[in-house]
Order: sequence, then C-alpha cells, then structure tokens
Amino acid sequence: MNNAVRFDAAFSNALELLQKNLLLLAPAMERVLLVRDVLGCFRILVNDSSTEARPDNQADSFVAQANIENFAQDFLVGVGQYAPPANNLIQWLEADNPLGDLFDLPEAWTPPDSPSYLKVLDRLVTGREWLLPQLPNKLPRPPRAVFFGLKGGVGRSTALAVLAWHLSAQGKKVLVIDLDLESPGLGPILLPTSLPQEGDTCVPGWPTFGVVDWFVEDTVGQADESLIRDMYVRSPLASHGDILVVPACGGLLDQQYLSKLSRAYLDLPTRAGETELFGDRLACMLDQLESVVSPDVVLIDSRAGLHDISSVTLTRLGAHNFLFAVNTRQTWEGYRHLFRHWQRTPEHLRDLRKHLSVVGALCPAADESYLQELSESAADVFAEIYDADAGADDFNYAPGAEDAPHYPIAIHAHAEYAIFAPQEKAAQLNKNLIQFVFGDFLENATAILFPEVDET
Amino acid sequence: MSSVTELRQCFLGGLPDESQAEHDMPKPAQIYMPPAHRRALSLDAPLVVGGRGAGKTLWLRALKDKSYRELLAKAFEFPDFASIEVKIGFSTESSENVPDSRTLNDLLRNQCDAYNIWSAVILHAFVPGHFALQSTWGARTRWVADNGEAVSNLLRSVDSEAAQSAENKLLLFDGLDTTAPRSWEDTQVLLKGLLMLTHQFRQYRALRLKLFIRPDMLERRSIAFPDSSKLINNALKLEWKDIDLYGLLFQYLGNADQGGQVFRDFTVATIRTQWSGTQNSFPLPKPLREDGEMQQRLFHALAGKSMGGGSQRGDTWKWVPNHLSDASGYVSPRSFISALRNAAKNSGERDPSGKAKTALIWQAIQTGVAKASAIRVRELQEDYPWIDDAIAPLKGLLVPCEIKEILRKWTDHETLSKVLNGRGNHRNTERLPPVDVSQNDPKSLIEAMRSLNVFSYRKDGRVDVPDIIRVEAGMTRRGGVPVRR
Repeated sequence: MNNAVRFDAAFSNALELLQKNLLLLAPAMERVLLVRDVLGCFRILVNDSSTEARPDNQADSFVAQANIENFAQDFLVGVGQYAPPANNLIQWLEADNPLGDLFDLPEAWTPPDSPSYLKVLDRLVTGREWLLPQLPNKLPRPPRAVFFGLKGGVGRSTALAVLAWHLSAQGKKVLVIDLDLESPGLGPILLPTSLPQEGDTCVPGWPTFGVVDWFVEDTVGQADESLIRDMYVRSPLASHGDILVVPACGGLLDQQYLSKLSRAYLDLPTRAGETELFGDRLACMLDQLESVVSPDVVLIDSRAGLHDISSVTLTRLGAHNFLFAVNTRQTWEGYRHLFRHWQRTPEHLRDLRKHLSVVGALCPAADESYLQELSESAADVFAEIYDADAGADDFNYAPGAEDAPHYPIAIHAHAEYAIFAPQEKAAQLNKNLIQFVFGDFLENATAILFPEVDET
Repeated sequence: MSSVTELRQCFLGGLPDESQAEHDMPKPAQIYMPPAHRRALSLDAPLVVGGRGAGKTLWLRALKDKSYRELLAKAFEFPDFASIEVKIGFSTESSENVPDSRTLNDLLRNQCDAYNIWSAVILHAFVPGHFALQSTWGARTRWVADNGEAVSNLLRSVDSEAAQSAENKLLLFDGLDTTAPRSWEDTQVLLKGLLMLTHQFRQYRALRLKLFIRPDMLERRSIAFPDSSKLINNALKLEWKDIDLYGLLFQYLGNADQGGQVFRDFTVATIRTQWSGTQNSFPLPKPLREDGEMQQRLFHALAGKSMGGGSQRGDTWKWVPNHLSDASGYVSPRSFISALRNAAKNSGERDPSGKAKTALIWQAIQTGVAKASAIRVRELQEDYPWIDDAIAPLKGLLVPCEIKEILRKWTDHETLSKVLNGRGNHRNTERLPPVDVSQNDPKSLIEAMRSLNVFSYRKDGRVDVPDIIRVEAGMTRRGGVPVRR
C-alpha cells in the first residue's frame, strides 16, 4: 500500500480537482457542495438550474457528459480508498430536494480561493460545534468566563477558584460550574470534605445533583427548576459576596456516575423533527442556572484538550475565554490545530477572537525572559487567527502589544500551590502570597469581566 | 470644563507640525528638559550620546545662543551658564573658524595627525588671534606639531585666567559623522584624535569640550587608546523615557499660543494641578514632570483609559509609546508629538461636532501612531541615507521572516552594492555607508540594521521589524484570516 492516498492528501486532491471543474458541474454557478462523510469518503452534491451536464439530459451535450465522466474518474483516483460506496460520486439535486439544505448549515465553509457557491461539509463524529456560531442571548445575562487549557495540570482550576474567592471578596455573587466531567475538580476544592453520617443520602455540604444529572434528566424532560435548586450550594470559602458551586458530580452517595457521563454528550431529536445539539442543551442548562441563581458573574471550568465540551464552551457560550498555556511545543501545536480549524469560518472567528486571552501558567517568577518568549510563541500561533495583510484598523498585533489576545497574563509558579486545598491550608489564601502569584491575573480578569466605564 | 473641540485646537496650535519640527528652533517656552538631558548638558559631561531626533542639535543650538543660555540658566538651574563663552569646534554648518570635511581630508592626506588637527582647532577657539601668522589649517596643524610644549603652556594659562575670572569656556562638537564622508576609516581616525584630546581636558578647570555623538560612532577603532573606558563609561545618553515624552507633550500644550489657557484650566479641573508662569512662559508643574501617575490621569482625561476594541489591557498612556518604539524600546520625541497631533486632527474629522467623550478618540490615536512611522523612517534616512536602499526592496514582505527571504530580495535588487557604493537613491549625499558591512557578506547588512534597531531577532532566529518602521516600509505582519474590504 505504498501508493495509498492518505486522509489529508485525499482532501487536497478532491478540492483541487473540484475547483478546476466547477463550471463543468454547475454552469449556472448556483450550488456545489463537497461532502466528506463520517468515514472520510467524498460525495459531491450539485444543485444547479442548468441541466446541460446531467447524465439524464437527452439533449446534444455529449461533450459535457463525457467531460463529467472524465472528471469523475480522475476524482476517484485522486481520493483512493476515500471514494464513496459504489463510486456513486455526484448527486444531482432538484431545487426542492431537502439535501440542498446541507449547503446552508453553519459549519459548511468555503475554502480560500474558491467562489462562494462552492462549500465543503465535513460530517464529523465529534466536535462539530467548533465551527458553529455563538448561541443567541435569550435574556440579559451576566458575564461568563471559560477556563480552558490544551493540557491539564497547569493550575487552571486553581486559578478559577482563586478568582472566585477574589471576586466574592469584592462583594460579587459568583456562580462556578465544573464542566470537567471526566475529571471533576472544582467541587473538592471549593466544597467541604466532611464524612457522611449514618443515614445521610448525600455528602454533607454538597448539592445532591451535578452537571451530569441535568443531562440525563433533560433527555426525559425532567430538567426542571427543582432539579436546578438541588444542583448548587454555597462554598464556605466565600467572603463578603457569595460563591455558588455546581459540581460535575453531585453529592448523592448512591449514584452511577459513569452511566450518566456516557449519556451526557448526546444530541437529542426534538419533537419538531430537528436535532438539539449538545451545545444547545448546555446553553439551556446555563440559562436555567443563571435565571434561578442571578449571579453577577459565571466562571466555567472546561476540560483540557480538544474535546466536545470545549467546542461548546469556547465557541458557543459568548464567554470570555482564558486559554491557559505553558511555553511548550505541545501546547502551541495544539492551539495551532484549533486555530486552523477556526479559519474555515472567518465570519464567526472575527467575533470569537476578541474574547480570547492567553494566561501564562506556572511562569517562573525570577525569569523575565520567559514571559517574552511565551508572548513570541503565542504571537506566532495567534497569527493564524489575525488578519492577513493587516492595515492600521485591522485585527493583528505585534508580539509585545500588551492589549493583544496573545499577550500572556502571568500566573507565577509557586510550590505552595502544588496541591490546592484552601480549606485545609489557610496559607494558600494569604493576601500577599495571592498577590504575588495571581496578582496580574486577578487584576486583568476583573477588568475584562467588569470593564470600567469611562466617567469622563 | 473645556470642550473636546477646544482641546483638539490646543493640540493643533500647540504642537509643531512636521515642517516646523524639522526646521524651526522651538520657542523658549516650548523647551522641555528631561532629567537625563539636564545631566548631559552640565559642564562636567564631555561626551553626550544620542540617536537621530534625541535632541543633539537642539541642545547645541540652545547652548550656542545667548538668550537660550540665559533661559537654561534660569529655568533649569544651570547658574554656570549665565557667564560662559560658547564656541563651535565642528558642526554640519560650515564656518571659517573650523576646518570643513574637504580641508580635513587634505590634512589627513598630507600626513597630519588627527590629534594635532583638533589641537589647532581648540587653540584657535580658546586663544583668539594666536594663529595670526598661520592662515591655513595646514600651517596651524604643523605649528602645533612642532610646538607641543608651547601649546600646553598656552592652554594652561588661558585656563587659569578663565578660572580666576569665573568665566568658563565651552567648545562644542556635533556632526562628527560628517568629518570624512564615505570613509569610516578616516572618520574613526579623526574621532579618535578628538576623543584623546577630550580625555586630556579633564585637567583643566575652566576650559571644557562637549561632543554630541551618534551611538554607532563609538566603535573599536575610535576608542583604541589607553584609559578610553574612563571617558566612554561616563558618556551620558539623551534618553526619552515615557515620562519625558509626556512631559514634553504637556509643556507644548500648556504653552500653546492659542488654547494654552484652555489646557492649563483643564489640568486644574481634572487633576487639580496649577501652573505658575509669567505672561508667555509656563514651565511644566513639578507633578507633571516627575509623577507618572499624574501624567497618566491627565492623559486618560484627554484620551480615555483604554484603547477599546474588546480588550481592557490597552491603557492609552502606555499604548502610545509602546507602539512607537523601535526594537530597543526607543521612541523619538518627534514621532511621539506628531502621532498625537495627527490623533487630534483625525479625532476632529471623525467627530466634527465634538460629541465624543474625550478630545482624542482611540481609533484616531491608532491612525496617528501609524502615520508617525513615516516620520521615524525619514529621521533615520537623514542620518543613514543608505537605509532607503535597504528597506525599499522589502516592500510587501511578511514579517517575521527567515533571514534568507531578506537576502534573496536584496540580491535581486543588488542592494548591497547600492548601499556600499552610493549607487542607489542616496548617491548624491555626503554620508557614511553602514559600518562594518562588506559586499561579500550580505548578512553583515542584516546585522547593521539590527544595530540601528530597525530589525530584531526572534528566539527562533527569524527577523522581525517593529511597527514604527514596518508600516512606512510597506511590510505586513503575518495573519491567517483574509480581510473583508
């Protein structure tokens, strides 16, 4: 199999051949859709009022039909094993064929250098929401912040907990939601760790239910207000204001967490015959929580890595995204993959990129050059989502521009925070130490979430 | 409170426009002296280093002119300057009292020693009439060469006379990069002779030399003499820190012919700071000279706190100098003042009815800062005309980029030979080629650009160009999203 056409080569071959033969397929230049199915195989949907090229056309267009056949043959060679079943490549659609609606899906994208009547649709098994637009706001809602990292273990949840504590000290009512469903962490940090007494059904100080419960109850229409009220409790760490915690896993002692988890990411069919995506459902849960709790701000811990959860939290919730990074190639290559994927839908990206901030995690405090190197690496990768050929008004920043999304907000590395358990270790909430380690982050995050209005 | 339109008028009337900034001496009330410059002007600082636009020529002219000297003595507390005799030992303006570059070339070709040439210049300045019998610089230099002891005695006696009558004598040197056009070798030989003399002048009490020098001039050839480090290490830089740039801005605004009163009232209303002055001259109040936080609050009142655009971190007060700086962080005052003048002008165009909250609108600040790039590039061209030939082929380049991309463009345009032989745009100028650049080592030109802070290196070895140069040079920063126009 030395000559095997691999996944990425198949795509570039397919696109190149299609671009060259577009006018042959659709002389009226109406709609051409290149579909890659979940197995990676290609099909071409043509919806064009000109019928010249169609095989069922009885008129004198033999030349066009011969050319189409040549094209199809070349195409099938070009994509190798990614050919469609039975080599059934081109589907000619009538105007009223519902498949034509695929062209209008928000994740269908026009490749660079192509006319707008050509689109590509990648039928993904997971992660399709990376390219979907932000969900519409139903109500006026509080600012949301999402904490994301390509890699775990860099202090993401710790930073979130410290920010919650800091904002509560300023009198804010903070709603904290743990969406790191595969390795829940915020509950144990922020909620008490007392042992249940005999006869208890739930861990003392914890809410009975958590995020996963909402998803299973929602599938059968039971995600109502009484469930919401059993999903959050007050954290004892709150001072002055309030910290209300929604853990991933509730405190119910007798529960089947993994059975619920495996059902959490479902897209649900609705009564109207449409599909309610996981992201729509998550947004619905958030709206419900916000309307019951009325917080001043919502902090969301997203799980690490390019997972479905993050595809929703980063792109669809209209939140400000704090992207945690350590200066390793692994981190930046991961972000680069994500940004290249986002390039497919520039119209969403133009809004999304305004709400990104890099957080430099575990920065060595004594090393001034570390931050500079970090900002250079970040600038390099963020160039993927900055404007090309940028003029003065365009969205593109120099490496050292402190107002740029890539310019790192620093959190210092400190041994005291290796294991964050502020309820046992009072020193971890020492004001001076917090200021030294998290000062830059707290100041910037507060300014971003609560922008000061100019009084002048 | 004053209206934003009045304040914009104050920027337009109070800040010099491009042609004024280039040619006119600022009025006494507009002169602002940062603390580092005050040290550099003192009589005990023989060596003053500053890049293009840092103020070398301004201070030379101010010291030469009696009325400006009196102003310096009074406003900036230099009592020494009240009774002082100032002469010029060399400058770009020709004079019969100093040899010009052609004469210097003849002298070097006739085996005259640089040290003796400058000794003759100094003697001519400090002992007027001494060379009554020697009418040419050749004859004067030869006399000095033959009468070393007499030279020493003469200078010593003039020095003690001047010291007794408490009248210092100061001899100024500027434009030392133009003593031998096109030859670094001769330029360095001449500079070395002058530096040696300057070093020896430490022994005099009332005779002083002061050299204004471009930073790239002090290189290994000119400082190769015993104990040169004592002189070089004590050189003073004409720095412009952020706080100095804002000091200069507020000095201009507070002394605007029209609108000065508006601005002074504005500082009273916003940061409760009074100006005291006489009729036409209002020195900048101390808090606005020394207190960055006060400056920041005042600038926020003029321009708003943040640069908008979604992020809260673009503090206007830091943003402006940050975006005007070269690869070393240096901001030229002319580009700073011009950027803000343009920002005021552009704010007026965007908001003609004066409904905006602040006099300067952040989008207009962006526009003004982008325009300042042209000014900085022109400033550099004045000192380094060859830079034009090095930058022009890079139009359209995407930065950061690999060194080899630049080298390829330079090869295609025969840039090196244009730069070295003056074949390109600067062929009619009498200026030096870049230092240490050779035809068979194209990378040496990259290094020359880096030492002028026009290029910088990324950690991965690629070359980057700061915005202050990039915009005017027509290069673009890399980006992955096509722009809708």
